[in-house]
Amino acid sequence: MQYDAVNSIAWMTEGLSMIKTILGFIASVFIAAAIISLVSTQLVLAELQSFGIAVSLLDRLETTAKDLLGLGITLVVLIAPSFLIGFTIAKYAHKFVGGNRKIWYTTAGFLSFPVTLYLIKYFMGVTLLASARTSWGMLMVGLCCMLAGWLFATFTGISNSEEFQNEQ
Amino acid sequence: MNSKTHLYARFIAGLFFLLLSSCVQAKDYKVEKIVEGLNYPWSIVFLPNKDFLVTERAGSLRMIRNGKLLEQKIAGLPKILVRGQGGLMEVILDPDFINNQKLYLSFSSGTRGNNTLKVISAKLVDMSLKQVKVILTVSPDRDTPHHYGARMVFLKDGTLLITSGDGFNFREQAQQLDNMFGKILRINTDGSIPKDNPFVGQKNTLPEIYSYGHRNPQAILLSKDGKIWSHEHGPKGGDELNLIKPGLNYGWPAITYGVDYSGAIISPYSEAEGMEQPVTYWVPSIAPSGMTEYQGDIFPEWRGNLFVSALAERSVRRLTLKDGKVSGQQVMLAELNERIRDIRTGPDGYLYVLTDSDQGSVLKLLPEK
Repeated sequence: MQYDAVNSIAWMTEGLSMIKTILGFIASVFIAAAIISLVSTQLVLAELQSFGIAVSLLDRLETTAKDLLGLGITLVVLIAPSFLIGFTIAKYAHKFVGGNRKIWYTTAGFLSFPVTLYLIKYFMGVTLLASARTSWGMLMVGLCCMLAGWLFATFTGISNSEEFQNEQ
Repeated sequence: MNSKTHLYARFIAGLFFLLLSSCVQAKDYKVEKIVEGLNYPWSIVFLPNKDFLVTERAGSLRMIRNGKLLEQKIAGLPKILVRGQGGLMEVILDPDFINNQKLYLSFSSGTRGNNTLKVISAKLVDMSLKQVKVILTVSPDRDTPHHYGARMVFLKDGTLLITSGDGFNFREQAQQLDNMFGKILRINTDGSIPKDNPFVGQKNTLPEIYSYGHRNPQAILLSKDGKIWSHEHGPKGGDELNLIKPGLNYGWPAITYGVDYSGAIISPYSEAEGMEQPVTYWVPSIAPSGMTEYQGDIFPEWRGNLFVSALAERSVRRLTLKDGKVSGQQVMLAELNERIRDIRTGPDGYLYVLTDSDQGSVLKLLPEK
């Protein structure tokens, strides 16, 4: 009887943990896409200004909003599989190698999307995201993803079920 | 007749004339396949002896003689990088070919991580190229195999215009004058620079530059009335037809009618001071790939029209012009459902078309009757 109750609690906490992970993953993907889109727009507009084009505040806001919708969707499609692979590697790296969990996920965030962009460049010969065509731009993209990785690690934390199992 | 009846009558009459005109247009021409089995044919020229030369992007120069593709390929080509959009591209004849047998070829050269567009001059002797000389190397090198431009045309003064694309990843450089990305270049046939080029003698500026702010110009021609027409691929939307004048800025990527393939805005602006507007533009993209001005006798009603081949639209667009503006467009050859790489007017007055595939063809347009 006591064994069944313990088992049920373990199942419930594991279920909750999985929901938390899924929500955290979705949030991290959308946050990364949104920040990268915001940063990309500003980098592209900065290039226009360097040609002598005056960019008004209204145009800046409108372009930023349009990019969130236009570029944002493409970024979500590209970032989701990148993070899925990156965070999975981070999970098992933490499990088998050990160390600080947040550092693993933050590193996975920093590397995963830039690696995807690199692979697209390798196979297709082009860098899809204009702002990532320079080293500085790529660094900015990596930092945005790094933040998303850190947020994911923070949001998901050590799951309750893992804590429960550790106590057994 | 009341006004409503009058309106109906006009509508029906309009519909009738629309149907009639489309029937007339549909019966304007028929298509004959001259040669097939070409590996991504890119450019075609007509020799004085009635032979044709065709470049294959896969890296071969082929001869068509008496309507047959010769198995033997032209020998003597330099090493060509065949990757992405790169390979052997344009071929044109020297204006004095009949006496000097010289021709000019553009191609991508180098390695995957370090390549560029080159132009050579060579003498065609039987089935070989002799006296091969590099007359232009686009600088700097790039690590992408896209957007080479690579079309060429002779001006009346014997100088050569060459289109150079932005290399895809280097679009901002189309606005800078210290490089050859996104430019139309003008050189002499020995590779030297004409003294009257618009930027000669200016600091931090390459003297080969004739015009700038281009994306991937894949057609350039000199019309009978001396105008230089060029068209270029836009990104997602925003393909442009431009009238080229020396020293002018055609705006890419500061102004554009297209958006990036990623969905990102390239520029919120489609016009700006000091930047030229296109004569016309296409949204969505048709992917213009080649162009000819028809001045033959076979289709007298088409004389003076521009014909633009299109990859994405899988068609040829016939553009009628009035006062330097496009007054009408007819979509042709869409029934073939083929990507069209190039269109040229033959010396016999017929139009010749190249289809873009690894089993590409040379097609000839003839009058229906």
